Amino acid sequence: MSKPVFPFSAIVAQQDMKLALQLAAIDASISGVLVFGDRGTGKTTAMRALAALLPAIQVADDCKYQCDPAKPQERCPDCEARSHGDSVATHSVQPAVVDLPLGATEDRVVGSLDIEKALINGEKHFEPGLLAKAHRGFLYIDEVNLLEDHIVDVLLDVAVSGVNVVERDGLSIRHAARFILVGSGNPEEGELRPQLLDRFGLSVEVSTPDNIEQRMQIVRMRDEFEHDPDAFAKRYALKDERERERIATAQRRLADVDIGDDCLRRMSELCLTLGTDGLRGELSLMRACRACAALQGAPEVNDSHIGRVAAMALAHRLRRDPLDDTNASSRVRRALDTVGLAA
Amino acid sequence: MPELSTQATGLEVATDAGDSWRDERLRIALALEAVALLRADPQGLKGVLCIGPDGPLRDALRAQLNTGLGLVDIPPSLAPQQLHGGLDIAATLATGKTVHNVGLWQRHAGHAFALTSSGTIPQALLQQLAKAIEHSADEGTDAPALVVFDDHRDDESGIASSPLGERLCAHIELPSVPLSVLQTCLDAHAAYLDADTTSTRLSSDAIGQVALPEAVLRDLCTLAVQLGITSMHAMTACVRIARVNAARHGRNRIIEADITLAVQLALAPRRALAPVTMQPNTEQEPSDPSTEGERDSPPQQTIENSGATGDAPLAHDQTHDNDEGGDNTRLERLIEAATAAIPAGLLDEPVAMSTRPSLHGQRSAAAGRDRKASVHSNTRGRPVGVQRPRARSELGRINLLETLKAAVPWQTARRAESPSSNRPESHRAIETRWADIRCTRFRQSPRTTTVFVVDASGSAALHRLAEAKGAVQVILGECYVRRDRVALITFNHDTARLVLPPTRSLTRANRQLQGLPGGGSTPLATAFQCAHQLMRQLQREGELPVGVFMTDGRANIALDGTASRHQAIADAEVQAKRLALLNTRLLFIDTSPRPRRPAQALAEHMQARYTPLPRVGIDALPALVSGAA
Repeated sequence: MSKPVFPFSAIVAQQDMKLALQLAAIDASISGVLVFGDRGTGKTTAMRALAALLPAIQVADDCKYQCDPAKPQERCPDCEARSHGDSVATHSVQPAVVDLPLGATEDRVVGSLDIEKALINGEKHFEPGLLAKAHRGFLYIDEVNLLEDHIVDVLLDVAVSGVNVVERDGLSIRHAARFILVGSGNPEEGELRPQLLDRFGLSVEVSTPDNIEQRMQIVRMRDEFEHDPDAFAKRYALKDERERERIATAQRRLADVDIGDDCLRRMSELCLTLGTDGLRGELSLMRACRACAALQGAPEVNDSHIGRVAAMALAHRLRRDPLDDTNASSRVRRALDTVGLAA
Repeated sequence: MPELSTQATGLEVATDAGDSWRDERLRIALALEAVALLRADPQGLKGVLCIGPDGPLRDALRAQLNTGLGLVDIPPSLAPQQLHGGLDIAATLATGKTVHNVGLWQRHAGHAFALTSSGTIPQALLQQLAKAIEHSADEGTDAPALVVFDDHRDDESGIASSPLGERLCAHIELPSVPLSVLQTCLDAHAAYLDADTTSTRLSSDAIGQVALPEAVLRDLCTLAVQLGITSMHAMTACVRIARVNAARHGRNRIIEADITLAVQLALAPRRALAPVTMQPNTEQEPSDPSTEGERDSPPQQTIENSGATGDAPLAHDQTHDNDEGGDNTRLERLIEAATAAIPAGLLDEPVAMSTRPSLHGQRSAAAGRDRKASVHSNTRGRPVGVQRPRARSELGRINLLETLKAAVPWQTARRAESPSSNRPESHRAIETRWADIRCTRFRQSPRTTTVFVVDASGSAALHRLAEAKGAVQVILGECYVRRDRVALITFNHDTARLVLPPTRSLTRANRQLQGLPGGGSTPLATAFQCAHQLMRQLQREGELPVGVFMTDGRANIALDGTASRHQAIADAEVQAKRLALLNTRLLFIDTSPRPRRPAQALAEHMQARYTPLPRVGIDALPALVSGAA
């Protein structure tokens, strides 16, 4: 019997991180959350808790690529062969959380020749890698700033196109690979390339609270959870269920949320003031605002939403002036003030 | 009902008549206690990190672990697949059926693993172990515990601060002591353990039933904040240790002695700040454990032995515990205890190098031994071709497809040689030989590390430091392009300091470069020596060091610290010549108002490119440095 995951609603503090993960779950096009912070600050816990919380998805039976039965045009070669064009049997499953280990090779990530079949039968067969497993789920990269360059290249490619194209070892495969990229790291250990930074939709900084009361609460909760995980999970089951409903509702409502022209104008002004490169910042900001409004049940985006998510969406896209010591989020706040939006 | 021993923890045994080994005795006692706790609850405590040299103490700990849990060694060169098992290529090829081998982790469930590191352990293995420990509790099987023996403490990139170190509940520093002292400690502890209730494994329920008073938890959190500890792993480890200790003695609530032990094992070693007492008007000095016995203490706290570490005997703890007025004093005692557990000398900022740096620094020797200082490596980087390995040691990543391609043409001949008649044709495996194996070769571009050596002496110090800092920041701002690193050494008075260890992180550089001190004399030879040491180490790690020296070359402190100008110049010259032998790119920036002979002479000795600063100007500095690299 596997141990239940630490419940999402039992996580103390860390409001920004929780919100960022929820937004990324609501709108998959936000494409990723980067979590910066020291070790032991609850990054992995929060992510696994959210993954357990998400609404279940339908996948085709016996499929290693988590094919979506509602999208027959994206069917993987295996499903295609099995179904012969008809619909396939499905079952519902929790979205996967796949860890990208530090020593991962490109073969493991992208997929490679199936060794067993090659050795035994001499057949050329594709063994799907981590990207296939993570399709429609999460890909969690710990210590993202230590990731090797060529793996980063692969991830960038796939994140852009949503398709994993494999041309190696005599194989030629393509399969859909859309996932929520969650990266965590300690900024003191190394800088991320700006291209990779830009791919992440949102970024947050976490730190252990200095507040003694909160710390005590965290320790107590962790302690109780370790002692009897099932009972603890049961206590928070209701809250988690409500949270799940909120996210599911927000997902449904997402398409109906309006963004007025003046809101868009203010977002653009904000990005111009901050000097973010390219348009991806604005797009992220817009999507995050919309998801935030959907989560709160508002029919359209207003200034408070912009203020809430601006730092998350833009802090990692600011052009770095190395001689300027100011913290990224304070720059965002200053810009918010300039443009006339309350933080 | 077993008789409660008069000692609440095994630490009192360490603190007999005050002698010169008190500090070390305490650490030995802590180590022994940690092992005993681990034997009682291997799954919950997950493991222990022991930092210290190889020797009889380590052997004693290993022996105890072996009797209690059964000790299995993990070789540092273990491939991650062997940890959790995977396809056994050899057996599969031989039998023609898929054969998986059971990983080390499952094979020895319930035992203790020992990982000994005398150099560097590959990051991938550390990460795998960290994950294995984390998930083992989930599976509910008899998860093994992990004991890591590390030769020396390496603050930035060592095991103590890695994710694995985070999850090991206790970090201990093993001291070096004479055999007689060690023997007395071992005997005393053995006697204590005999009087103890259980050294067998405790059940999770028994541990979980121990109550944790609110006030104790509050003190713990306050202490953690004071010590600058941000990781919640440390906190939960602390609580767990306290619980296990209480359960071990048959108690059902945590008393101060338990928390003290836990603080000394789990919190003190992870401190980021030196602990300070809460009330400055107490007479004791926190950094000097020997004066604790003379403290003017409140009447309840009679410290019987002068080596008090704050863990008072059991008797008066019971009266103390519910005392609310005693909260502050208890926190103070915890702070004292934490301080006592820190080896003397490590309380100060540990970065300064003395004028007599050892040439065979522990770190560089050990680090050099393990790394392959080559650009073409067996495992890292971009794949760039396939080759036949010449020896077992060159076996990197087997390229299966190429291997099979190499083996296929020989099949007919080989099958004729060794007919296996009882296997049907379709299941015949491909016969491979050693000569068929092909490995993928990888290539990694070498990184450049720019080492700035900046003169912080004299009145122009701050200005120079500011320029150097600016150059550092500009380089780091672009380093993602070249994956470069930057390091900074400053020198003044009589020392050279590695202020910024090689790093790629702008955040860290900004943090470390705040408030650098300036002024004083110029120990030039020491600075050169320090730079030489660092660059040698970088070369051994396979990186390209580039040295940038910013000074006016007017040395006036010799290598041994004396203020003799003549000697200083001679020493500096010798060290400069040594730098030339490194055969790396060096840039000498003369910061004196007019180009002067001493600086030019030194640059020549070093075979460095010489540039006077005023002509270069401040803004051109970063470009100049990049050009040198």
